[in-house]
Amino acid sequence: MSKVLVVDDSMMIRKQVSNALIAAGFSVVEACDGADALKKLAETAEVSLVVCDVNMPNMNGLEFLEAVRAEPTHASVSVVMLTTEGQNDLIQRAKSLGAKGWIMKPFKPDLLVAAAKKLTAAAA
Amino acid sequence: MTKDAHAEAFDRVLGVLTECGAKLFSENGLETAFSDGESEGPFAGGSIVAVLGYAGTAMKGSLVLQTSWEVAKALQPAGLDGQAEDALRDLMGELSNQLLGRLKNRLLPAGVVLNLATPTTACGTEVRLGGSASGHTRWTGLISDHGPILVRFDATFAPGFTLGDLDAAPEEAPMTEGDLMFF
Repeated sequence: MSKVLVVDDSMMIRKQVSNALIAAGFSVVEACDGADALKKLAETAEVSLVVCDVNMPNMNGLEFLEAVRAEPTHASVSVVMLTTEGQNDLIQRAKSLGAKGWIMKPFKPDLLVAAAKKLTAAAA
Repeated sequence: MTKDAHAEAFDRVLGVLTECGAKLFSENGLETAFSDGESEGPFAGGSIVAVLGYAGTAMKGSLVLQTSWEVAKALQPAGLDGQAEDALRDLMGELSNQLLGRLKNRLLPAGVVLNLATPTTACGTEVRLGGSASGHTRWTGLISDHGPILVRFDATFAPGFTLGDLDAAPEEAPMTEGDLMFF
């Protein structure tokens, strides 16, 4: 069972994403912003995928992505962004920082699960 | 730049915002109809408010959503209904984020880039907002069978700003709600 870290400052979005992933057989850990996500990533073994919002307090999603890529122990972790943002330079920045994908909210649960399966299979 | 050019820009942006709001709320299970006018608050039985600021080189300001508990509950996703106050405030904060996000994406073809803050929410029986210091501010309402969702939009435009063509063909096909792109 692959483990996914779901990062969003909205409790509702975290629950929606988590429910979809758990129903598809994933194990889920939740974090409320980038700083919390870094802590959870350090504490939690074998996270293979992070689904991460962009606009969040304390540490936003792109700052989190940059911090993850700077930490060699997280090299195998895939990150996909889930956000209302569609601004091309933000998308390109995420890509350059090593994100594996970008999903626009509101997300389609089947599409999110398919993306999670694809990215966790590629990491396995 | 004349004041009228900014007023015209504000009207157009507000029109797009209202359109985005009706679509967003419909996708969350609540059909609404536009109603121009002032706030109908205070809501009997209390209301929930979400405030989200934005800034950019062309314009800056804030978005306010205010609605009743009943409407907020009607907007909750299936499987997450019947939750506590925190969940309803969270819902309204996220909807303000998604609504302003949609407006941002609709303004991008005109070269207007907005940077969104993170939402703040409040609730109570006598919630009253202070006046806005922005150059332009207006309340509009989206009316549903459960009651209204009030939307206040505040904007101050940069000197010399004129709003370009919102339907201009972008250099690259933009992502839209629900899209997925793999890198």
